[in-house]
Amino acid sequence: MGIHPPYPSFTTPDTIDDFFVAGRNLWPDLADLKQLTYDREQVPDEVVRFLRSTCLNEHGVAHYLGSYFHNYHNDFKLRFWSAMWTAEEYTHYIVLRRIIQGLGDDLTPRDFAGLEDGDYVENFLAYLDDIRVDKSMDSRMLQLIYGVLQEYGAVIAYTAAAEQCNDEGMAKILRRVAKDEMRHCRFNQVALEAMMEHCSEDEKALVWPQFRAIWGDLQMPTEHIAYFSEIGATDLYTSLWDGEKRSKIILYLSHYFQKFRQYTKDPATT
Amino acid sequence: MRLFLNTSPEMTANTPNHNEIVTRLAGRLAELLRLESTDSIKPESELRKDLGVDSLGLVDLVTLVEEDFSVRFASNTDLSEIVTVNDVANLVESRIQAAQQA
Repeated sequence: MGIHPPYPSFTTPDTIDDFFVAGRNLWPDLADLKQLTYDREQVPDEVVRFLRSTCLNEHGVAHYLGSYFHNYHNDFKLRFWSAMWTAEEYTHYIVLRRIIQGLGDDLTPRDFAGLEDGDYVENFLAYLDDIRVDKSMDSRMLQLIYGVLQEYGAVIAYTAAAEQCNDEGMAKILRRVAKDEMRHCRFNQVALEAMMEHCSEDEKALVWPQFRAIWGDLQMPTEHIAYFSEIGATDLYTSLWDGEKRSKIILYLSHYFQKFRQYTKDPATT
Repeated sequence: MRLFLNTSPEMTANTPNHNEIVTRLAGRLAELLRLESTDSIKPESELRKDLGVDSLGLVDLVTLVEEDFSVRFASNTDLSEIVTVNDVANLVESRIQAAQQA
């Protein structure tokens, strides 16, 4: 599954390496959680539903590292990053689970079993292969483009939850999670830009159409795990988006990827 | 709704009026939607309901408008407030004027 042309490895380690050391948020003592009052009456049901679903999703992301290893094949730096990234998402799971427990809810054994039953890796790889605009496109490039959309979607989702939760302490934590997600988004951007420096013109020309293809049929991770359909939570990323949030993601992604449009051979037709 | 405007010298010298903006928008929308002509694109045409502009179409529309009119949508622009072709034209026109007065 997937074709891997012999790309050179990254030769701009300074830009990529920054993400291995700078700005990592390991939530060392979970101190913010101890300050929360956990007033369930203040937190809308929709936000609790989001927190519960996204908690499960963050746990799931760490389980499906295999798909990222597949797409990053022998690029050790991107593999290292994937492991660090999924570990950070798992930390979000720990933080979010403490919150939902504090609100009187919790994940159940059935939730975890449903997650384990999923075939996310196979489904996700098949999705990316189907949506690939050029079959010779490097899987790393495809994964990084998807990663920008995925992580910015998470930024918007957590930002929306923070705005709607009516609890400043909880909002602060959710904004902190959103900040982590923005850093993940930036990693994908910086890695993609570094990759561009070593691509042919033909390969550069694929970025804008690939962004459009993914945005036109954007499937977030929850859509590749059957259990999220069973519990009606495939919309967890978008459930809290209002018109303003939808605008924000459209404008952010349009503006970010426009820089690659210049490489497209006939922009008017894409 | 706010737009950050970056006008080029050519744009300042040849500022399009409202009708010209609508005409240019109609032409680009026809390209975008792969229509043979602009006949079905009226100022009052609703982007989503009448022309079928979806979330991918909005990405393309934003890109085309920004390129054609040398404007840049602010990140806090609420696209849900832009309903018709005329709304887009009004937005572009007002921001061009505001930038020229600044």
